[in-house]
Amino acid sequence: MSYGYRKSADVNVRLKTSVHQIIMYGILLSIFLLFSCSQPDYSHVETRDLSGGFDQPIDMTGSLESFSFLVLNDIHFGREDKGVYWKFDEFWQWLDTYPGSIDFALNLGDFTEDSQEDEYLEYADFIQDLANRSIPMHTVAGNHDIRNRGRSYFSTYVCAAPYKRFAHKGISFYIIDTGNRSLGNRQLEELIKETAQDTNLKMFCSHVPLYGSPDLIYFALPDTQERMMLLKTMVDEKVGIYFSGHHHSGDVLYKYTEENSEFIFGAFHGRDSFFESTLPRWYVCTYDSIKNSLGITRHTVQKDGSITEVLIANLIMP
Amino acid sequence: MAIERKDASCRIRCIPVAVYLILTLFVAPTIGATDISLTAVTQTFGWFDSTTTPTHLDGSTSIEFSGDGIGLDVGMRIQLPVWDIGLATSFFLKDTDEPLRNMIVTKVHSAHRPSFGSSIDVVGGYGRIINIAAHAMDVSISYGLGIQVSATFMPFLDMPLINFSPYYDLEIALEMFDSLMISTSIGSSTLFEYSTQAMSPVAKGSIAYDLTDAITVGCEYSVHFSDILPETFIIAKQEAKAYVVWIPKVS
Repeated sequence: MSYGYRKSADVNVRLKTSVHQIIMYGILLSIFLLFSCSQPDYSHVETRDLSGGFDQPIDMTGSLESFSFLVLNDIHFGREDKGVYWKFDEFWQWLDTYPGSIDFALNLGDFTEDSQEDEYLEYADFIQDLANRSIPMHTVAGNHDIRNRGRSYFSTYVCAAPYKRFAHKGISFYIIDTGNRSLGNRQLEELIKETAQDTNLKMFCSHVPLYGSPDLIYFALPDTQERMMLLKTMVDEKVGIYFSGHHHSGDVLYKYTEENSEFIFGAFHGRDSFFESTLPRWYVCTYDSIKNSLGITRHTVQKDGSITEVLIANLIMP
Repeated sequence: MAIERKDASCRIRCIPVAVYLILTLFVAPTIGATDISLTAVTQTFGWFDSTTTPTHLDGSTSIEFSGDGIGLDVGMRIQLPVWDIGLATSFFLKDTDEPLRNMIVTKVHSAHRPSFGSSIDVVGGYGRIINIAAHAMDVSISYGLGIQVSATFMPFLDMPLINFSPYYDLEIALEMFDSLMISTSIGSSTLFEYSTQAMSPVAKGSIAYDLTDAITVGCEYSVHFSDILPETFIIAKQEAKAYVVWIPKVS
């Protein structure tokens, strides 16, 4: 930080330090030493060589059809923070009486609190409950899901590949692994390469937002260059939307162009605390092949147990 | 639409040039109006590996000036395909008799990636530095806190993407035997390295040796983390470089 600040610039000053200054420096030094010298288990720190791939064969015949899918994120099984609550009974009851057809479900990550095996097992049961209703689940890894042995549990209980793609009724969905707040070199390269060869309309599904809004000081991808490359890929390769979670308040829409947007979904669990005040939510996205648009409808469990339905956005796709 | 995008591309290509001109216009009068003098010229050569650019060579040149109450560092880095221009200033407050010196820190940075876009980062903060002279060692501790504003420009965006994030910096430097200097730092940015979000720190360590009164050589290793938690970060960028510093004689 001492830019242009060398000894020749008269910087040697006498040591005359007051008690509060000593304490202040002591605290700062302690923080620094703790950060430098702590011995976390680095064996689980991921390299950029994740064992995924976007090379799954997909149908690119271009026959688009209308359909709906369920989106939820930030379930956080095992979370014990103050004020956190879930409305699973209301969710299953709503799903069992939903009048439309839901082709599949998309989970945008952070389904565990601390990547523990019992939390993964709870999520596996959740996936099974959906499967019993003929709704397959596609899951994105979140930052809470990759701690400790999280990636190992992810491949065991959720999906073998941390990133992948699938196509449904003419749209390609790219499940992106941003659990580390970055795609990493290999995933980014593969994403750019495979989307360039994929002629379908595409949707990116991530945990960490791409941008969102200026005030997301911690909640988006931090690397400007990586963001530029993803954005250019979205605009050049018919990626209509970037779905994300992570920011529990959610419901943030940003339109990069008329045909390229980002939407941040709110958390599945509710929380009633000083830091976070949200109601349990999930969403239904409906692609309209005639209008080539995507509607996002939010379903919220209110305090009285009723579920409200609001159309949040209707976005034109490229 | 195609014409509009072409125009927007032209505007974005102009951004680094505009930043360079602004910096030049800012730096030149500052140097001319005060008794500021050239303190050092640093040339680096190295290697970097990042999420967006796998292993590649890079180089940078930076020039330091200092004077009564001001320190200034301006430089350019070529880390293809990205070009960076950076300026950092420290305006020391009037408390030179104290063991610690307070300062206002400002930084401006521009990065340009041809055919993609450009970004500009501006930092304003408050910093402190203390130099402790011991028998065989001089210790320098500095820290700073402030705010950073970043803007990303791309041809298809009507408005730049604006980000606010905190600026933070902590550096400890040891100088031994009047010729060997070891330093380590962690912070939200360096002269050329920035991120748009909080908690993506850059950690750096360097060792330098004064070959003569005019020439210092050294090497530096730095990593830019994607997150601060050891459980979830990956290294978004790592750099290793050697450098030569020319320190002109003060007349």
